[in-house]
Amino acid sequence: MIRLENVTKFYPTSNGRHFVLRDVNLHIPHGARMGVLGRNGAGKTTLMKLIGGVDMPNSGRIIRNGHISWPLGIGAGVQPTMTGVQNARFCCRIQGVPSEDIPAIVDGIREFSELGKFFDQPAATYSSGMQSRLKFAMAMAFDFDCYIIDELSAVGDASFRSKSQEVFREKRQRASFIKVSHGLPELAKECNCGIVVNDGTVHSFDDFAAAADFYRELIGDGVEMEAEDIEFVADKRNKGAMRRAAANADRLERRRRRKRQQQAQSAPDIATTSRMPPPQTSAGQRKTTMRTPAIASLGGPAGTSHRPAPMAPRPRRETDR
Amino acid sequence: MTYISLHRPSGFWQQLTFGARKQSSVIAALMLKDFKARSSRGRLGIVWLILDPMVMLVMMASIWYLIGRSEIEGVPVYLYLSSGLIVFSIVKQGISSVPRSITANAPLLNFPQVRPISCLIARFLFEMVLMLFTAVVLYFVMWWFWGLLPVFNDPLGLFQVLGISLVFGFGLSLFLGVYGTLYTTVGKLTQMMARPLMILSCVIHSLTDLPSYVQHYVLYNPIAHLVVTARIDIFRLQPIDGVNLTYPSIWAFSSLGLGIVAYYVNRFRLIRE
Repeated sequence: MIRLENVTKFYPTSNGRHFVLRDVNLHIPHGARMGVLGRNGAGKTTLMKLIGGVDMPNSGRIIRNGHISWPLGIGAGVQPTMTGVQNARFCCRIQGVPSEDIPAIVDGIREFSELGKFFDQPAATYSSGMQSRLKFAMAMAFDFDCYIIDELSAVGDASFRSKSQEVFREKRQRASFIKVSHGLPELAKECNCGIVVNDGTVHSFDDFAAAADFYRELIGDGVEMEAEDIEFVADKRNKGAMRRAAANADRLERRRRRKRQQQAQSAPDIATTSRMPPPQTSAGQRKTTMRTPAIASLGGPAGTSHRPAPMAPRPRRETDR
Repeated sequence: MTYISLHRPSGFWQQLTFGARKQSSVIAALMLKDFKARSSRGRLGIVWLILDPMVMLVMMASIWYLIGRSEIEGVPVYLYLSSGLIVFSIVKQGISSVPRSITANAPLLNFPQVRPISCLIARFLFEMVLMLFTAVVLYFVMWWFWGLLPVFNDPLGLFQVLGISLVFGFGLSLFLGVYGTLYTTVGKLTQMMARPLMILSCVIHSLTDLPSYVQHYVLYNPIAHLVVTARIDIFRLQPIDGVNLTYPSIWAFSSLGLGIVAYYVNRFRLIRE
């Protein structure tokens, strides 16, 4: 269980304090599979660092129960001057692993990361993919109660990816996770709740679909998703998702047209445009590129009941401000 | 793949000891990492760690031999110079090597167990252990080849000097570690200012060799007090007026206090940097 109570985090800048998070309250129960959404620079990584205990809040407090992983991010976590072995050993030591257990863990990391002879070379010689594999292998060597994944889910080649997904799926059975990603389909498949970080505030949702819907509303035209992704997720989760996706796409399309017309200050008013017939929503048309609303109605994990996604633009939400 | 389960104790004292044990393992891991990094520089990495101060000592002693002096204040040149060099190096590490440890370990700050202060403590301890080892080897070599051994006239006084030097060195490293990491200019300026410090700290010469009006100015340097007092305690030399341990103690504890305050004030920024 992780609880954030009135957490404020700011960075001093030349223009005064930049508040990344302001009076945030959040409760992440055990077993949560939380997807974190937000624009670039919204404060997702800062939030992950705070939850992971890497950074400290300027005010408020964070209560962490259980063993929580370090944030698995692309940026840091591997010392370039040290070899893969040394990094793995270092990681074991700081986790308090008894020295007699370290060789077995390091061998496991060597095997899992598939770095071969590079495992004995300095990490500075690794490509970014190899570094990510090492980081992922190091994190998977420990049984945490909660994993914090900051955009480090799909690393390495196809075989490594499938292997890591398999291991992570196994971990998910007994551990919760908090995952930051811009890949909505990926999060929709894995998460049962979500938060959206925006403008110093964290909006929490007990259903990831609602979080995704809110996120799309927030960023307007910013997110696009391949129709194959929508179909894949829809087939997996909900038979009616495609229909709702099409309806949502139409709604957004109408809104965009309306906006364009207003901007152009053309003759037809809003009422006229809103009466325009909806565009065709056949599969052939959706094959190109589609706005994301479909994902909002996909709901929680397979086998669990979920709320149908509201058709109204703004879903029910709790604002932790 | 081998997995390991991590358990956290529940009681207050158990958590406290668990945390202390974990932090000590972090510092030990960082020290080991520093050792590996330093010793893997070239084929003779580990040898150079010890040879470096020896070469410096031989070079300094050669100057004295060239001008025809084998003793300073009645003490063999090698012994005299080495005693000053050890005390000076304790403080010098706090200015040169230790403050850079936060930047050097920046990627590891992603682990919640690793704090900026852990990097500073680990690097400082590593440098001190290295210096202790070097000093033992140095005195062993001097005893083996030339039969030179220090007298250690006042061991307690020497421990006092070493203690103050350690506090001073760590205080400086904390202060400069914080501001040197935040502002690279501070680090560069410090390095530049530290260059003449060896001469100004009476490491390669005696304080009495200097004219009295120069002595007055040199004694504003707290390291000179530590170096001269250490020699008095080791070799039973005549005390010198104006040399005491109060002045460097004030510097040492002030720098430690300032260092702790600087770290506390900038602890958020250090993680971000």
